[in-house]
Amino acid sequence: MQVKRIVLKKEMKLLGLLLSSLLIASASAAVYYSMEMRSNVTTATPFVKFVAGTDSTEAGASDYATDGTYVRLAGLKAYPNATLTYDQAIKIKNTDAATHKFRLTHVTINNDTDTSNFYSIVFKLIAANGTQYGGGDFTYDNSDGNDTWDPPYQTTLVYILGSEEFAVKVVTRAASGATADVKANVVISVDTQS
Amino acid sequence: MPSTILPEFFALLGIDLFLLLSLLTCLLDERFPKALPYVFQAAALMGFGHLLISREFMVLFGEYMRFWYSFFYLIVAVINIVAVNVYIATAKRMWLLAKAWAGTVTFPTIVLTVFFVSNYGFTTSVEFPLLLLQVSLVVSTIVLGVSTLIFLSPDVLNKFRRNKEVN
Repeated sequence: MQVKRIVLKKEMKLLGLLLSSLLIASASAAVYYSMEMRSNVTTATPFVKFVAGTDSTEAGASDYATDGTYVRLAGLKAYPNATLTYDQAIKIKNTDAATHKFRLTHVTINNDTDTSNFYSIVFKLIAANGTQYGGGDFTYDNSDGNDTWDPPYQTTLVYILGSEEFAVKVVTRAASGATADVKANVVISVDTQS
Repeated sequence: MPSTILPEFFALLGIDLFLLLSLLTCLLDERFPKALPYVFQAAALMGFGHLLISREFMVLFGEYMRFWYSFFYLIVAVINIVAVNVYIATAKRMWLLAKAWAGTVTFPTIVLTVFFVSNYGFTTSVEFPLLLLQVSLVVSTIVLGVSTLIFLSPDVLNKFRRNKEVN
């Protein structure tokens, strides 16, 4: 009788510890699992992309044909004391049926010699009906003639309807008496939102 | 190559080891102090709290710090397993049980720990202090030396025991 009671006591103790162990192990595993952040990233075709405009050849647009997510405008010129306009240096097109949003954001600007050779480089987002969007001009300004660019921050969000196209109009101007063949490198990102 | 395990995995492993110790010491309760299984349960519960804190302050602590405190907790669990093994062998002088414990608990635990830690260290380029390597080399050399001595002349162990009894 005494032996049976001792065995039963040990079994109860073991059962209690076993249940407690299961509880702690499960709760710990659940906490660990909740700490893991698993993300799946799937490649997809972009909806908003660059397409050629009427002045893309003159503007030297390249590198956009494959994915439409990057464009290089290497042929833009700037005349001293005169504006040069590229009405459709490149176009931004929504290839989706749904409406999306995008905006231009400044990344960097630099040039190989004096900034004082430039007056301004202006980017405008023009809809098919001729209306300008994005909250106005996106201007890299050096109209004060000093050696420092005054870059813009970003345009406002532009709603682009299904299959709609926006032209990127570029207006350049060099300073009076500017040295020939000075290059300015402008990097602008096009942030697209769903 | 990105690591597939979080640093807290070592804390989770430590919790499981403490729970294993708790259950095993409960099964062999006549050989251990009565409170020992509960002490190990409390240690596992502390590990759980440790995980909760780590989750809440994940960004603040950073991966480096999270790894080292989780690794420390695991090392404490492994040391307890080795300590129980040594306790059975020396204090209780149950050689058969000590050997069985070493083969079924201590050795697999150490192998698993070394495997996961080295795997994590390889994928995340964690640099372990050189002292760790030196200490492990010294410990291995001592264990190897003592084992060789006992293997070659088993009487040494009996002489040692007799000397201890006389003293």
